[in-house]
Amino acid sequence: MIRTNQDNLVRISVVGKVDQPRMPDLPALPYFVDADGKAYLLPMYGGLIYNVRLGDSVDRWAAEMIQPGASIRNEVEGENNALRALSCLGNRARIVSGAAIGQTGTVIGKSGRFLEQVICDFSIETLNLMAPGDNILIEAYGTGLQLIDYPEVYLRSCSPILLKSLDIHEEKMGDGFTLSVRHQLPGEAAGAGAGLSEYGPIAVQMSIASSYLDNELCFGDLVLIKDWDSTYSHGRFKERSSVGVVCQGNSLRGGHGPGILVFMSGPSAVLRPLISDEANIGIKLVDKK
Amino acid sequence: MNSIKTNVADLVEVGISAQVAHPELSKGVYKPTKHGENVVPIGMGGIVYNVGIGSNAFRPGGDHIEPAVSIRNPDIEVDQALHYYGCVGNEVIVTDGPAAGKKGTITGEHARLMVHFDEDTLQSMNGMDQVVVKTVGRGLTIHGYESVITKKIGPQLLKLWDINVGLDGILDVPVVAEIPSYIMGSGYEIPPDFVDQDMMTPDWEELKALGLQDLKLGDIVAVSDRDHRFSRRYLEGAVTIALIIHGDSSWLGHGPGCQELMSCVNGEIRPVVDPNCNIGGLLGL
Repeated sequence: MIRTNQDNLVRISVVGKVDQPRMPDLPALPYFVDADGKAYLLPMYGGLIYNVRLGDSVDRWAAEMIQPGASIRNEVEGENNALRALSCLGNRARIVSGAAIGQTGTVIGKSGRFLEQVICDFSIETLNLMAPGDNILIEAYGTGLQLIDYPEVYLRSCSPILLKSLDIHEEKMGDGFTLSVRHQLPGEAAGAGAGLSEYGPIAVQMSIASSYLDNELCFGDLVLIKDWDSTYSHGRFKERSSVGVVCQGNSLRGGHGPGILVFMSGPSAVLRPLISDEANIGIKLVDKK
Repeated sequence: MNSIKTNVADLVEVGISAQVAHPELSKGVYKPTKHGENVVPIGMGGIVYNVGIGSNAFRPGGDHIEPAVSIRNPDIEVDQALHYYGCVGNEVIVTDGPAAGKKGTITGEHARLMVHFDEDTLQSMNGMDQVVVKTVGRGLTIHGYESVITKKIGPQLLKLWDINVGLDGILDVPVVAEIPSYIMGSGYEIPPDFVDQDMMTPDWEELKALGLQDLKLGDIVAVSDRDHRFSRRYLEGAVTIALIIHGDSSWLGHGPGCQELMSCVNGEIRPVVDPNCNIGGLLGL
């Protein structure tokens, strides 16, 4: 059992409202521009998304970086920063207003620069009761989590529940560990998000990644990116690896693609991936509840 | 070898006002480096007296150093126009203060436009100087090469940059060096007509192995396998020609800024290495 400081972590409330799409007023055009310069208009990012679920292929949907389930934000900027920084993958999301009051879900991702939402999974029955504007309280728990024997491994957005679900195995204490991921990608595949130090995901450039994927990239998949670090900001860093969860769908824009929320960065010699088809938080975290 | 023909005679010249942009720091002041040390980022905005075009792009002691004078318009929408209209080589005229009447040259577009002035003018400026930029270059196309998307090449630069048509019909474009795609970092979220994309430079040994350790501000480079026509992405076989506009950074994912000048995806451009292809020499700065 890997040793952590989880008994020292504070559990604190942060609140957001279920978000909904916004479009620019005329004369601005509603289109995005794809990599070849063509205009397109598709549903994008997150709000109340009924039919995109953990386990679905990121390529399936006619959408732009779509986020499964309910995405929330807080209208007060400082409060939203706290919501985004402190919410951790695997945290419980409790509905505290509206017709679905009392129902619970799970934090499964975050969106990045210019959008700034937290992504939560709820059952289909619950989603059907929810409405934009419903208040969701996250019991934020995980910020400050450390692996006692691995000070060079940095965790962010990582709850103790997520950590437990990774099948971490140490042969010898302090000598590195294996963990389950569904895919391993080279640092070259990382795109939008590079250089950012906010709490958002990094995008995968599918033009590179597709040649490394044995099977489909799906919402909720655990992915290890080699030669990449996300401790202080996202960027290329030889001999370090980052591990994250796929939480946004594919994009038609260049340099953009499925979003991965990184929750662990550390020396490649310490983080040793074991490829497993079961390494998806839909299976590991959500279904088990 | 034949010279290129362009529509430069048809481009519109538009005056946009700006003023010297004061340096800014956030309340927190410190930014963590890739190793977690805290530094005060210095070098953006204001008048930088001792770093200019031709300075070492990896010069330590600063962060994203913007050479010489940074300018902007306090009206955000006018400032956006300045970003999209301003082109490398465009003329800048000081319109008030002790340096009124002096002329400078646009050397790149970061969060602010950057302007070269001669040493005497830099010393005489008061830090609040108003200027007018005579913007021209948007809409530039090369006849017969309309699929090559140009960005922010002022006619002043175009005239002196020795781009030719090779015997095989491919454009020979002089550059100082070629940069591999995988080293490109911060800048994906913004369109390739706005600001720049940074190199990611955490590994000095790797930079030396790539022969990039001597890059200077103002160097023109080729970035291999990059399609920066309408977004910033990896695409095998694409070529983007860029200008090194600002200095290195200690933040992970950042480094010297590559501002796009041209991009194509069908092999229209062949970079030709010329160690002296720096806008300082080309524009006589």
